Amino acid sequence: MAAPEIDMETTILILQTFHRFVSEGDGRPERKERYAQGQTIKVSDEDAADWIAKGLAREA
Amino acid sequence: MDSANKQTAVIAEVTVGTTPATPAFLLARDIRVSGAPQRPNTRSPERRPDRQAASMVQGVATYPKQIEMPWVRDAASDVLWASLFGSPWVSNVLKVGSVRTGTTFTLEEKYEGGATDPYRRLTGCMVDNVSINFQNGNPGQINFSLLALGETTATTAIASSTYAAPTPAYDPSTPADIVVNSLFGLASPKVRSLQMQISNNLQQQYAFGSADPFAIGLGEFNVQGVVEVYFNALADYSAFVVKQTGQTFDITIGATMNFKDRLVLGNCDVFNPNVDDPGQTGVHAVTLNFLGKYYATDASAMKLTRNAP
Repeated sequence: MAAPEIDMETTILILQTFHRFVSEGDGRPERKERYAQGQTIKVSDEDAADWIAKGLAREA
Repeated sequence: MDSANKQTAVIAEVTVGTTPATPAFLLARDIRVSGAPQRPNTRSPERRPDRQAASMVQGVATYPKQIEMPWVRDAASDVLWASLFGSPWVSNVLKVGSVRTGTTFTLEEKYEGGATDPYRRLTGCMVDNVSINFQNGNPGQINFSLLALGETTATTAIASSTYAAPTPAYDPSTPADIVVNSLFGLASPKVRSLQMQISNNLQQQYAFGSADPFAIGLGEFNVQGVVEVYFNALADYSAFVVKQTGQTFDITIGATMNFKDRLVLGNCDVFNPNVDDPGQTGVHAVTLNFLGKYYATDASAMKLTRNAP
């Protein structure tokens, strides 16, 4: 039996207000996700690394 | 699709003509984006006994756009300014250069389509020319005219793309926010309006195998304009009847400390003055034409400083 998939998460502080569009698949409209400056949130490690590299966030 | 919901974003390219992967787009504070790609097709010139059209031939494509903006200080307009100057920002200063890498950009226009949003993306964009217009009582207006290497379309955002809100998001600047540091040696000039045109004289380059340009060439850099000052003394006019050289144009634009723009042309020729006559009701103004020439001290005809005090 395969081991259960574990979602790795990182807590980050949003440094600059931004948004992104997330595909819902199957021709459904993209969902707009907004992140406000000063917000502390948990996101996937992948998103955290991307946003930190872009200067949009830092590890909290 | 409602135009109010349209989103305009830019990102500087690392490789000319290629939108970076997982792009960090910068939202623009544009008024509108006009201009249309041209993909001309013309009737085939061949002779036919029926005298009627039977085929068409493809011409070369061009991708001109114009981004109209109020005068704002933000990260997206910084990308456009760097492209105009053909040079990256160095310590918050732009000088005229001939660099393409890092100064081209992708322009993305996203239309609000409800269920599915159309995207148009112009790649390899370079600013061809800019017109600047300041009239008292109105926000300064900047029109960036650009040329691109090509256009792609999509119905989804680029994977892992993000859209940063304009920052800083201060009010657009008006002439009330302009300090005239120096204007061609005039004593305490009262400026009524300013118009400037800055041009790169770009040329699109085509080669066998594609209707799209493969590159965009830089032409002569030209900065010139017309400034209108209230007619206060004869010298406002007479000093420039004979073309004056080595004159300084130096203004600071903006209302927020450390977020102002300072535009300096250190070696202007000022010429062809005129005094207008508005008739019975009005005041006289002097119009002065100027051309920005290479200024050895700055190694640039024009210098833009951002985040100025």
